Amino acid sequence: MPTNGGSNLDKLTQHGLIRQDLPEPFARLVDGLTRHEVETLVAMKKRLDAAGAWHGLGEGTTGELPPWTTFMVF
Amino acid sequence: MPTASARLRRKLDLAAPAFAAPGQLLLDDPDARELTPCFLAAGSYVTLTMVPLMEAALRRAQELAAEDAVAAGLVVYLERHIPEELHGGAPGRAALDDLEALGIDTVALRTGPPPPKMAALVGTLAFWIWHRHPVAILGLLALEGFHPHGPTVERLVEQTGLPRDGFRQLLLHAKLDAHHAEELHRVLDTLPLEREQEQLIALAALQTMSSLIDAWLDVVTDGSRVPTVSAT
Repeated sequence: MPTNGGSNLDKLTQHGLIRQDLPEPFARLVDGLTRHEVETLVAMKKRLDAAGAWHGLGEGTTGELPPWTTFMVF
Repeated sequence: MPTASARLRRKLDLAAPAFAAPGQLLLDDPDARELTPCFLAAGSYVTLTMVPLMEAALRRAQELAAEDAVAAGLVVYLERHIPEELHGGAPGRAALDDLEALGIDTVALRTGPPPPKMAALVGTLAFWIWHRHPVAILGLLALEGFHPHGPTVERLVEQTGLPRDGFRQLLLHAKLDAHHAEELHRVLDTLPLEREQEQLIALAALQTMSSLIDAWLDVVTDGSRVPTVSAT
């Protein structure tokens, strides 16, 4: 069921990270983010926008991740 | 009811395409050979500070353990995991060896001032470890779930024509970190985490991803170069 309203949804929609009529369970996940988490996602989006490299949020892709281009040793 | 590790993974999955984007730009760049050493050096500050941050978290957790079940569980995990990350050598030594093979002056990298964005990230993580809760370290370690993908690293080696010795740790961690990530998820699901602690872990992970994206984009889109690159 689509979730409307809520400060997280409003803020992420306003910054173009998500669309308003999010399906569940993605909408519930977004609703549960903290303010700092939302601000961090918005910062990522702005930085990637500036580089022309924003391709949207992942939506619950756990377990089905594509081949990574993360060239990083953790 | 999803587990703590499942909740964390769902949050991090939101940022996964963003986290992979700078690396894709690198792969697609006709100047990938020139950019790759700088790209890898930009992320190396996190690699080099992982063990010191884990040791800080361990010390803080040991201080809290008598009255804090989460800290006590963290002590057990970190005492086991820190030696695994050392790979039998000094912290970060293997990563530095790879960078040297790519022409990076690692003495200058280690002794010069770190990039302010990376220093800010490490300082933020250290602050959270000491002044919020040492469990924040699990946010950084959760990124082992975004380990390098072996065939994609091979593609980068081929595309750049750079020495294969410069990619040894990436290729090794393509195998190791999948196991490390699974172990971390088991730890997350075992610790009696409070909601605020789960949020701290997620924030530490997302903040690390955001800072790395920023640093990598400085290299691939803004022409920022590590001043320690010699001709390769």
